[in-house]
Amino acid sequence: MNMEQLLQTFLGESRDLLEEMERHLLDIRAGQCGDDAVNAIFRAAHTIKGSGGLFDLTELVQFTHVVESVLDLVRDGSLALDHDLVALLLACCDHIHLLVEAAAGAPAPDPAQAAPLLARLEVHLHATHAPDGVASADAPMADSGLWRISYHPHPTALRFGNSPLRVLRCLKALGTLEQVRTRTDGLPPLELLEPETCYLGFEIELRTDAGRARIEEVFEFVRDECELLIAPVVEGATAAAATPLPPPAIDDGEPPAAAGENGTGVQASARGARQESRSIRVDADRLDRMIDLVGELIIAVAGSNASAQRSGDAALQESTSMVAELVEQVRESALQLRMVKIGGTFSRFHRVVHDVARELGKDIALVVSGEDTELDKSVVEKIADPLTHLVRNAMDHGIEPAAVRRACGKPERGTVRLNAFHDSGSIVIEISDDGGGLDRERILAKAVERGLIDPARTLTDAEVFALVFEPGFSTAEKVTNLSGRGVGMDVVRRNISALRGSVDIASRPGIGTTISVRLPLTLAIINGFQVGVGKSVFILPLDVVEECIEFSSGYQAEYTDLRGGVLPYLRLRSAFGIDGTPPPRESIVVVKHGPQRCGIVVDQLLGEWQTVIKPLSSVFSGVRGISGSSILGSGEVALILDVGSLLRSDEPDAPLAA
Amino acid sequence: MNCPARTRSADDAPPLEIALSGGMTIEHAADQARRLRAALTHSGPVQLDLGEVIAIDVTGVQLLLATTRSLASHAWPVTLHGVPPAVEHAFALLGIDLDVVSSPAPNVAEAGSPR
Repeated sequence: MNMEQLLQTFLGESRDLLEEMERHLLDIRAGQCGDDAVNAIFRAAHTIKGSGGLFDLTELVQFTHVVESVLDLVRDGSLALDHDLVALLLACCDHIHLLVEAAAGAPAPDPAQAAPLLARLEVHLHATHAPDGVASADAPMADSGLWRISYHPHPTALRFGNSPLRVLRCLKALGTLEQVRTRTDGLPPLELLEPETCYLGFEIELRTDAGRARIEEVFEFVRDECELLIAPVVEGATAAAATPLPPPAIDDGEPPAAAGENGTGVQASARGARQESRSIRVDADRLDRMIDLVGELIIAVAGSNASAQRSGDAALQESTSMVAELVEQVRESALQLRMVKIGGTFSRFHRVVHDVARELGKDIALVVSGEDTELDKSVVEKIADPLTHLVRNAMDHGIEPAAVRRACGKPERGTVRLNAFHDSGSIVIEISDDGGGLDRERILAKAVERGLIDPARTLTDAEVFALVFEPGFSTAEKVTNLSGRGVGMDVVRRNISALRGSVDIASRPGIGTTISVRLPLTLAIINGFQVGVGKSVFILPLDVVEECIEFSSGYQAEYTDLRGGVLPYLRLRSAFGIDGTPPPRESIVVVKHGPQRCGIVVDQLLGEWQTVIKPLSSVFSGVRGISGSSILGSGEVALILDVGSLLRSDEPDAPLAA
Repeated sequence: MNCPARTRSADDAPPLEIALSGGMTIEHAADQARRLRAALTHSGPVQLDLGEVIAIDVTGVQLLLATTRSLASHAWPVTLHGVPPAVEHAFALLGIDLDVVSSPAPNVAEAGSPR
C-alpha cells in the first residue's frame, strides 16, 4: 500500500470518526450520556490525531491534540460535559473536518478560525489545572511512576506507515524518556539491507503519571505491526526483577517473553491482541464497475438462453439455465454489497436539527426510526440534500413557535420524525412534524392567484398539497435564510424524480405534516416483469406486480371488478399510442404503488426477467410513464414503466409518450 | 573498536565524499541506499555530507548505521559532516550517540544513552 492509498484510507476513516464524534456529542446533549460515549469521542479524536501525524498534518495534529486534552479531562471526571462544552466540541469537530478535507485537497481553513476555538479550549484546560484541582490528587498511584516499554516493530511496519520516531515523540509528550535503547542486533550490513524493512527495536523507560491507558493509546495505530510489552517498574525492587527484557530476534517472529512473573506485563502482540477485522473498505468505483459487469453478464446470459431455446438442445438449455441461476445469485450478492443502512444518513440530521433549532430559537427534538433500513449507496448519497431541505422546512414552517404551541395545548418542544421502511420494492422515507399542518385554503388561494389551477376545479387534499412543489411556490409570510423563498421544494421533487422516486404530502391542521419520499432500492438492476403490447416489450418492476388476471373485453369504463372491488385500469396500448388491434385475449397486470392499486391492460404476459436498468437519454427526461430502458437477450430495447407516474396520470388513456 | 586483521592507513586513498540530500525517509530510502552503497566499492575512508538532508526517519537512521557497520568491518572510518538538526534530534530521541556512528563501536545496540 503506498502513501496515497494510506492517505485515502485515513481520510475515509477520519470522516467516519468525525461523524461518530458528532453523533455521540449530540447524544450527550440529549441526555443519553454514558462513559462509553465520552470514551468513543476521545478515541475518535485520538485516532484522527495519531493518524494525522503519519502524514505530517501538523495543524490537524496540534488542534486535535488540544481537543483530545480537554476530552481527557472529561473522561477522568475533572471536567463536566455541559451544553456549552458540547457546542464547543461540535464546533471543533467542524474545524477538524475542514482540516481533514484540506488534507484531501480542499482549500485549507484560515488558521485564524482555530484561534477562538483554541482559546475556549484553553480556558477549560487551565480551569482544571488550577492548583486546587482534585484530579491529580486522586490519580491512582498504581498508574504513576516508571514504565518499561519493549517496542519491536515488525519488519514490514515501516511500509505500513508506522513511524517509531513518532511513537517515541508521543511517549516523550507523556512524561520523561528516562532511557531509550535502540537495539540494532538485527541490522544487516549495508549490502544486505532492504531499505524499507525495519530492523530496529526499542527498549524504553518512561516516567509518567499518565497511566497505562494513555501509554497504550500511543501504540494504538502500530499495535498490529509490532511486538509490544508495557510493564510498570517497581522502583527499589531487586536487581533480578529490574533486569531488562530479553531482546527478541528481529527475524524469529516470536513475541518477547512475558514481562516478569507477576503478570503485570501487557502482551499486545498482533497475533494475540488483534481482533480479526470483520469488514473491509472497498473503493466505490470498484463496486460500480463490478455492478456494471454483472449487468452486462445478465444481458449476455439472456442472449445465451435465447439461443439455447432456439437450438432445441436440451443439455445446452439446462446448462444455460444453471448459469442464469448462478448469475442471479451473483447479481443479488453484488447489489447487496452496495446496500447501506440509511441510519448513517439519518444520524447527520441530529446535527442539522440541533443547529437549525438553535438558529430559529425553537426547542425541537428529532426522533429517528427505521435506521436499519437498507438502500443502494448511490441512492443514499443523492437523497441527503433533498432530505435536509425537507427537515429544515419542517422545522422552520412546520413547527410553531413555543408560544403558539402552548396556546394550542401542545408541548413546547416540537418533534421532527424521520422514519424509513421497505414497501413494495421501494424504500419509503417519512419526514413528519407535529406542527400546525399545511394551510389548505392558503395554498389554494395562492395557486389560483398565480394561475396554477382553475378556481372552478375541485382538488383532493393530496393534489392541493402537491402544489407546494411547483417552482417558486411559497405561502410563507416571512422569508428566513432557511426557507420560505419558494426555492427548493421544486428542486426537491426534481431530485427525487431523477432517482425514479416520488414524494407525497399528508397533512392535518393542528396535528402536523408527513412527507413521504418513495425511492427505488437500487438504481442498477431489478427483477422485472415483461409484458408485450403489439411488437413492443415493456418491463414492470416485479415488486409492484401483485397479480395477473384475464381481461374481459367489452368493458368501456376505466375500471373493472376485482373480486368484488373496484379496480381502475389503463390500457398500455392507448397510453403509449401503439397502433394495431388488440388480440382477442388480453390480460390485466394488477400493480400497487403505495396505497394505490391499478390494473394495466397488456396483450401478452412474458414473465419474470432480470432487468439491467439503462438510464434514458436526457431527450426523454420529460416523458412520463417511463423510468428507464433495458436491453433484452435478443438485443432489442424494452422500456421500463414508471408505475408511479402512470398512476398519477390525470387522463389514463391519453398518450404518455409519442 | 573492533579492527579486522589487515591494517591500512587512511592515507591509502583519499576519502570518498558522499553528499546526501532531501529526505532520508522511507519514500527515498531506496535511492539513498543506492547512493550509500557507492561507499562499499571504495577502499578508503568515507565522508558523509548530511548538510542538505531535511528529514530523517528510521529508514534513514538504519542506512547510516548499516553504512558505518559495513565500512567498520573493513576498518574504513566514516565521518559525518553538516549534520542537520533533524538528524541530531532523531538520533537523540533514539538514544544513539552520533559520535558512535562516526566511530563505530561493535555493538551500537548497547550504546543507548539516558534521555
